Amino acid sequence: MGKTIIKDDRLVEDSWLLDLAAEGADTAGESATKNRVVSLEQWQQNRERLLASSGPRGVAISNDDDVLELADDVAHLDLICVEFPAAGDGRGYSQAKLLRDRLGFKNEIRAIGEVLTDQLFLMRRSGINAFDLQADQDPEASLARLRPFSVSYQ
Amino acid sequence: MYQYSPEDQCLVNERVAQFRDQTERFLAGTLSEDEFRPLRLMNGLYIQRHAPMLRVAVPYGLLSSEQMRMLAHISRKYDRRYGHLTTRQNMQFNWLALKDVPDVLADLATVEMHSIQTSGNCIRNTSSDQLAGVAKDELEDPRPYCEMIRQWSTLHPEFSFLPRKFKIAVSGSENDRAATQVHDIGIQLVEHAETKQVGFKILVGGGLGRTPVIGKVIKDYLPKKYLLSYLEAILRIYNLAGRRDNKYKARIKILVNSLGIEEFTRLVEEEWLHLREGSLMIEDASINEMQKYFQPFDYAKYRDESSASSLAEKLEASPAFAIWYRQNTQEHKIPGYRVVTISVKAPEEAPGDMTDAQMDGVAQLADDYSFSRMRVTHEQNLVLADVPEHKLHALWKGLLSFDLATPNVGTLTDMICCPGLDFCSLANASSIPIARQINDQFDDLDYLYDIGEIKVKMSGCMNACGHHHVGHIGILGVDKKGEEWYQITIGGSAEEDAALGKIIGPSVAKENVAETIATLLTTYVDLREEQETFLQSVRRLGVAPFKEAVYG
Ligand code: SF4
Repeated sequence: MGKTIIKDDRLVEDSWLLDLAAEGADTAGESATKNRVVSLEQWQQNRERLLASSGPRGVAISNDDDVLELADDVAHLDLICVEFPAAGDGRGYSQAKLLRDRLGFKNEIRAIGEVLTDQLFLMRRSGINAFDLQADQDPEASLARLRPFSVSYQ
Repeated sequence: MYQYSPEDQCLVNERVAQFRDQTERFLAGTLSEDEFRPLRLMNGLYIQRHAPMLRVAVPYGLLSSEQMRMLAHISRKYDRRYGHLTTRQNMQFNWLALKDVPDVLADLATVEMHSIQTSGNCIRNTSSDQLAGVAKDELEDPRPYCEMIRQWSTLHPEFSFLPRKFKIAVSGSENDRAATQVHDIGIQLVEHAETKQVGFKILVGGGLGRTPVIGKVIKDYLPKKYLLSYLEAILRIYNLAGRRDNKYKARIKILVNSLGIEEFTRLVEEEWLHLREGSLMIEDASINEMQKYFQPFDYAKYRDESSASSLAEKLEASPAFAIWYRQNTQEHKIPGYRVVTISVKAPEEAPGDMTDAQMDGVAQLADDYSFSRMRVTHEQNLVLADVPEHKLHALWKGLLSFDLATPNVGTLTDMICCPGLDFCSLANASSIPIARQINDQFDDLDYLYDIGEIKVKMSGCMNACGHHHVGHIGILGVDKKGEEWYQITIGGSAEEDAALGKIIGPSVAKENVAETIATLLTTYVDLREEQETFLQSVRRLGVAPFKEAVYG
């Protein structure tokens, strides 16, 4: 069983495997059946090969990364993970916003890391549409709190 | 005054529901202390020495009498019958029970109030000039722009977890009463040199705290329609590049200083190019709509032809009234009206503290004499901005009955004072007892009038909530091996001539603070030239003679 994430307002089973360690280190087990997410650095180093491979492509950016470096890549990506190393670190909100508004990325943006129930509404409104919750958060309760506001100023 | 639309009201109501849910989960143990902390902070709720402290937002300091009555009600029902005016023009309550806070917020929501973003690492309450709309020297009323900023910044999804808190102030006149030069962003309404169109001058990276800095100009002139897109560009650069590894280096001033203002400006301008023509563009029509909420009152209604003579008679008849009139009222842009500052600095009270009876009393006086509106000033007083001259005497009598007529506005005892060790868990030293000591020492009003305009500002720690760096006399509480000591600075100012005060020498013991101030004042009186204020003397003479007098 894979883990459950929230995507587009629903609980779904995750079909991606986050593989931010050395590329290709492990090809057994789960990784054989799942799509792989690589780090921005891995992506940039192996870009040609990854573009040539079939199947969905995913990149995870850390909050020190400049997302605008993905300008030429967004058209080829199915998933971008935005990392929240701590819930109080708000860089991911601006990164998501830039991916959507500036680069026009339309596919899945997923929050990973310290992703907490009460912050999902802000993440969602910044353009994040999938949430890999921190392990101790209740997915059902989180889903119920995705839209605490019916109005907004922005 | 701005009136909520159904959408505004809906947002505030939903915020109450959201916070009620969060508080209940915390009290039930399903939300951890660590997770709850940032959530309550976003709603102005601190855990202080004695109990939770709730800071209620008063947008740009403006209150209706109905709102003031609600604050009185809250202090009575949930607290100890008093509240405290803050230097961000807000009101805070010190003795609430956590379980009651959702109910307090629900009560506030019934009068279009909330505590959203009064703390936490987000955009705080935008502050402004307490004389907005009535000052003669004003280019334009700054409050419509404050309200636009309030709305834009409220629950802003991108900027709710900034590296650090973020404060914006807007001034509509050249005489800067909003301290725009010591804010993260300072906004001044200015006229374009050629077109004469009113726009904004934008300053960035000012601030007090541990590293006090005067803000730098990032944009000399910004057309009005770009206000929000420009702010968004600044905030985005700050959110992405501001330091997060050390909370003392996380304010935008540190980023601006480390990049240099040229490079910071370049980054912002580049970002802004992508935003300026987008959805944040402010149409003239929206500005007009917003300005309608801040129209001048129907001043003709209360104008009384006999007012000048009746005022003159009263002034003649009552010396006490005349002194209050001279000290606590000032010119209004409309002849026949005065601006009244209500001194919330009675000698025996903590500066800025108001009882429920005083709050109710002021609300009634505002209803009777000032179009039912009042303003909280960053100097922790209240202003009734629109009082007809012939009503002044009756107003004064009303204020006297609530102990709100101390004629000390602008004098030494009209101090800014943070809560300090008595309430604040971050404090190094107390500030309220020092205010009392100063009041005891300087109880001769004639002496205070002779000293003239002087701004004393006091903070209980480096966080500088009492703005001590920009006091003509600044007092900072420091901890020396568990004892309370006080560092004294002179020559600071938060106004258009903004400057940071200079330390006069080693810190002084708690019992010697008022005495030290007495020495500074004697020195001033001895050395001043005609008409020279304390600040002007310090600027002319430097710190040396004052230092000499204090330390010998
Ligand atoms: S200056 Fe320090 S002591 Fe005073 S209120 Fe601020 S944090 Fe507390």
